[in-house]
Amino acid sequence: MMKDWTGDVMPEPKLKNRHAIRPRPAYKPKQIKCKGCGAALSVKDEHTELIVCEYCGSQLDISEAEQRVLGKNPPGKPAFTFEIGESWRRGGARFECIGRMAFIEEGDLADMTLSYLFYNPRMGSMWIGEYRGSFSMTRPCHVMPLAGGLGMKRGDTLETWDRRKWICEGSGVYELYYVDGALPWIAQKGDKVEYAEFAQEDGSGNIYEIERIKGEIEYGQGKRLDTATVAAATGRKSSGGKKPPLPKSRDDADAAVVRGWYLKTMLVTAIFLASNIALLFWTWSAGTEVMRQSVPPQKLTEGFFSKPFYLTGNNSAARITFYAPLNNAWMSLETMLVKDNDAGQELLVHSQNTNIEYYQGYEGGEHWTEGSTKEYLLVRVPEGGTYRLFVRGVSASGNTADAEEAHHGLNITVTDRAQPSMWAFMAIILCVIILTITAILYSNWKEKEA
Amino acid sequence: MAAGKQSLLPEGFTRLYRGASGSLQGRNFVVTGRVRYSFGRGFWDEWFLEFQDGSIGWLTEDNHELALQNRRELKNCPPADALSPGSMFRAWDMEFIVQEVGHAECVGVEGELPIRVETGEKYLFADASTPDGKYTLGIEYDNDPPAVFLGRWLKYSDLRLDDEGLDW
Repeated sequence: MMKDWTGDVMPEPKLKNRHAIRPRPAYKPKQIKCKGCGAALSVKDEHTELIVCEYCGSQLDISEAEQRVLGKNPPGKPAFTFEIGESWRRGGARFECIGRMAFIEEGDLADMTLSYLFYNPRMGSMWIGEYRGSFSMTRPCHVMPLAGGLGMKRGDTLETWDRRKWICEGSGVYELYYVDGALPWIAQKGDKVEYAEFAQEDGSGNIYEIERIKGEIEYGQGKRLDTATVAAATGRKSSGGKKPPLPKSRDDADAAVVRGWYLKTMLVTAIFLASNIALLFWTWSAGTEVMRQSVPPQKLTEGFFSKPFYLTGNNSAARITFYAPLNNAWMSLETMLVKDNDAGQELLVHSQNTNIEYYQGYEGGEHWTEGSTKEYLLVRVPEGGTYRLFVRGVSASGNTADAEEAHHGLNITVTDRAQPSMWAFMAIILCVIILTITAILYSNWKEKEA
Repeated sequence: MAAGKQSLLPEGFTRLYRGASGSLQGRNFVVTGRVRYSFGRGFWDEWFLEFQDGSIGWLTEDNHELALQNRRELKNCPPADALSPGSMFRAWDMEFIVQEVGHAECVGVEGELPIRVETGEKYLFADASTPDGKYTLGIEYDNDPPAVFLGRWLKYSDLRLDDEGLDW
């Protein structure tokens, strides 16, 4: 009975070449001697091309039969979290840290990006990235972007050929500052790596990377790792424990999550704003028309009382609309809203003077207009009851400054319960402020270096 | 079955090995041989598989990634001088992006192989991949017409070995 590595019973092979089956050969790392100091070094991965002597720090090119010393690391080892030889357990398998790199951007030695190569001879290698105490895991992939990639800005959207969408977390050029352990290519201090990093749009924590190293573009996919995952994989804890603790995370949140938060905030605010504006228009037009009357010029000159109309009151507002067919003319109106009480008396509720003027013409071949043929009055009505409107007016054409009588007619409409709520205005102003601030913050976040 | 010229190739560094048995997408196989090619800045392995049903297959292993390849006929195969990294071409209604064009040299052979391969043999090759990351295409310009191999990248779980050797 044969069992596979998961413990499942495998069907007995019926292969013609069964005689060819043999036990797995033992894993024996290759042993070499450092050309710099003669120390014995162990090469764990046969793809290794560069190995840094752990004793004398010589960087050795072992890609050819003849070993070459390329140089040495600068003094001052970066504060790596993981040591060469440290284990990482994943999916029941042990990976071993065989290489480390420290990258800087724009010469800033205080803000390094650290990269660890973990190796398992049966499962290949994976990269653990560390930046400001936050960790990620990536493995090489062959999925390419539909368009763009390198040079994108934070918050930009990228789509890959597997139809996944990604949000750019940042891009730039890393400079290799320090390397030790073993790497599958010749890496030297000063090497430039053009990069762009992305987070999956759905906020799942999946990441996608594009790197251009010495003209070759490589792609990687992986995942952000939380502290608990890193602790479980390495046996380190965030504090205490036998091993040195994990660093505290200072990194920003996932770019997709931050972008999503900004966009959702703007979307919700925009919807709220649009709803309030719609509500405003609805309330503006939703009042009940309770009186409509046309007044000839002569009657307007003399002054007149309109037909009676009923207003609801309760501090709701009545909208009084005046329309005069003016053309390069003005009209001045004296208005009074009076209430008929039960005793047959007329009580003055509101008195206001208002002007309507409308001018238009052509200047330099372009049509211009000024003013309007309509004017609105909003009157708060404390009590319900029957009301009438007293109106008297004069009008004149052109630049005439004074008038004794009205030369134009007037249409009057009274609408009950027509005033939009003050809260609607305040909500609109608040939405505009929130939307503006969020847009500015989002724009700043996009521009800011990740 | 032609025997390749035997040469010492390191063993134990990879998931596959000569004499390994297992199943690939549900089909039992045994690895009977391997050819290693160098492309100057590294190497890759071609593992030769015999399946239970008598069919054969090649598994390409490039830096621990595996692709199952089969020889395919391609009319109007692009000439090598028309290809460079990043260039595109279509084959069997699929779009391929060239990743590498270079010279390969056989640096080692072991086990039983269906072809005669000698250490030191050289040929011009082009490697391409579909941009969705699913398929790989290798063109070997050592004959006319060139030999074309279409492969599919395998997930770890596509292949099961009777001895995975996870304890190392």
